[in-house]
Amino acid sequence: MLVLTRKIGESIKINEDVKITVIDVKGKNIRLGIEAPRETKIYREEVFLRIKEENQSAATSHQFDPSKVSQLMKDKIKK
Amino acid sequence: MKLETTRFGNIDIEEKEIIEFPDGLYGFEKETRFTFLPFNPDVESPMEWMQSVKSPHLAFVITDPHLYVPDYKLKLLAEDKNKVKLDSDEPFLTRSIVTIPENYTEMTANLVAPLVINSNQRIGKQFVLTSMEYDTRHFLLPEEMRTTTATPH
Repeated sequence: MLVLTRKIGESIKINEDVKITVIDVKGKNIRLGIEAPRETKIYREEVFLRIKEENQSAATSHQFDPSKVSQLMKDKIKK
Repeated sequence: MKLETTRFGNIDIEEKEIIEFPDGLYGFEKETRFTFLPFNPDVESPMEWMQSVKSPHLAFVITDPHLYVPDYKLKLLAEDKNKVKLDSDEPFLTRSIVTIPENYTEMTANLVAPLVINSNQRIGKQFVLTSMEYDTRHFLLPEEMRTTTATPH
């Protein structure tokens, strides 16, 4: 892993078009500003963990009666 | 072809009823083939099952998120569309995976990671939205319909 030290207000650039700036540091929190082309996908890494966990929970859904679930959904749509 | 499933027993499906997910799903990267089955053969339902071809025990409940969030927005970039072999203006299906807990009235849909399906080419992918406005656990029922006393099965 490449490790760089930056001060508040300093930036790093990745390729020609991505710029990450250290905006502020408060205790353990660091605020970053990211400038990148619109189509760049930027995620907080934890989101992937949450999605894995959610897929796992969905895969281990409890036993249920599909007709009861369908009925509930119908009742909801009627409302 | 014959398909062995835990929930539905041994069923017969055609090759063209299989949807390929080349990347699998998050946490299920090796599950690359699924078939969609009616949620409840007797009643019309907004839900469907997505049964793994490889693993008999693995089936997800899925639904169309637009039924619950009418303005649900999914912006696919050209590179995203390429991944599911969609032409630029070609329509696609959007489905959310549903989690059904012991109290099924508290079922939720994952709006952060929808499945995008090219139904002509039968290829799909789970995308992760960068937008912060949706939840991985969006309740499908309004609060007044969620009970704490639903009898578990």
